[in-house]
Amino acid sequence: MQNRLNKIVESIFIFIEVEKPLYPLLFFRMGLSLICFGKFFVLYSNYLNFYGQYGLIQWTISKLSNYSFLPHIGDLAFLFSKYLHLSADRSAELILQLFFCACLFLFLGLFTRIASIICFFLHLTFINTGNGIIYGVDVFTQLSLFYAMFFPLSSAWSLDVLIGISKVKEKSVAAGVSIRVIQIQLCIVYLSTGIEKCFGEQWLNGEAIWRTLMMPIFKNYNFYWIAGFPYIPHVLGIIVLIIELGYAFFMWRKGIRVLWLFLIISLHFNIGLLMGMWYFAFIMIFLSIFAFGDDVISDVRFYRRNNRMLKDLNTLRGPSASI
Amino acid sequence: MNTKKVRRFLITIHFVFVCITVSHLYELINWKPLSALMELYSSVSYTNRNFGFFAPTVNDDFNLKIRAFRKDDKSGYDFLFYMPDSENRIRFSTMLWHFAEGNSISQMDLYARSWAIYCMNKDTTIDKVVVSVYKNNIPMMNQCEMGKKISQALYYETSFDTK
Repeated sequence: MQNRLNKIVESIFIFIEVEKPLYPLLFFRMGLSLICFGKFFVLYSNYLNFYGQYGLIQWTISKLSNYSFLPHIGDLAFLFSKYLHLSADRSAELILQLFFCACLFLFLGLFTRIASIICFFLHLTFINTGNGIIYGVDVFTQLSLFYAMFFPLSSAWSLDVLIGISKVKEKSVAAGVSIRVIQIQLCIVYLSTGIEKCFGEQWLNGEAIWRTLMMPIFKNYNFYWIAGFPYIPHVLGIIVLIIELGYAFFMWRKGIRVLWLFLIISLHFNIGLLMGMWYFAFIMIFLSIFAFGDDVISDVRFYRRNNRMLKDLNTLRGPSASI
Repeated sequence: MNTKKVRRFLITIHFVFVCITVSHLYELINWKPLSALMELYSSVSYTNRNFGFFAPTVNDDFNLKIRAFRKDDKSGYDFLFYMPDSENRIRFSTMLWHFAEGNSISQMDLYARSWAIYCMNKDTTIDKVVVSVYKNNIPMMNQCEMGKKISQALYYETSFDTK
């Protein structure tokens, strides 16, 4: 029994500790830093309203609803005011500027590990300060930054390689583990959200799609007409469930994952288009492409090669062979 | 322990935490030290959370209206928020969802007080602020077919003055 259990555990880790190319990590590093930068760039005009001392949710309130040891802009502002004599708002702005610098370093791959740790820490500071305004995009950005601290991001075409801090590699087990960890995380995310949606009647009868399209906050287009065709939201609701539940299974199937990646990208693209949640769409598409993009590319190459070989075989056989 | 063993151990612990959280197993285990540890891990890593967005149901959304009054002004004016794009609007709306989360009156009071102070800081001539939150009631598809439109119902209201 013990032996059998050991064998199962070993086979799980053989699956996780696979050697993979490093170029997806370049995509991860650059994509994540761009998303972090873009997310705060669009909020720049309202930055102090969302994260300032006397913003919509004041620091005393956001500090109250957190663990006291978690980083908060208020804590850093206290340090800045003490040692640099800056006002609270100026300190908050300085923290954002530091975050932008860390994103740039991460993008370029310069002092990558330190840059990713600073990005993680400052992003955690932002979401703890603005805990009244966080939604999915912040959760997945923080999750990605958490993983980024452990991933070998500097080994993939970075300035760290140029200045000799890191060694360039084509393939590595660490890259494989990084990709596998995100793959498993995404499968858990989609499976759990799919199962939870199945428990609600709204997703099975189409009301969820209808309500989402009609919500004043998401109402980018007029969808009143859809009430006359209730089968449309009904079918769309079921399709969303199939895509989310199927993700955990079909993304591991050679060939079909090409279709499933396309479906998940389409789903998130439509969330961006119809609900205006573009940054949420970007981070989810980005994570799926990072996790399964290399496998999908391998599948496409494999099928192309096979098709070419079949064509060559048919040409060699001549017209009589095909009859 | 070598690096490989440490890595394997950390990956195992990590995914055990993720699985316990997403499957709601922690409700069954109900062991305080474990819950505390998982909550702590969740608040830092954000990897072990409930990822069921819009699940199992899509809830109603809210509108915030703030009426500001200057001294000896009885009619007042609507305090408007500058939300230039969809991302800012979604953040603002998310704030209203968090406001109504758990239906806690003390939490709603805290948020309302914060909004009132925000308005009073932005316009120092404001003497009184009335904070009203409306819930958007979205009709079902068959009700909409019969002509029912989205309606608003007062969900929460309070007022603050500088005195």
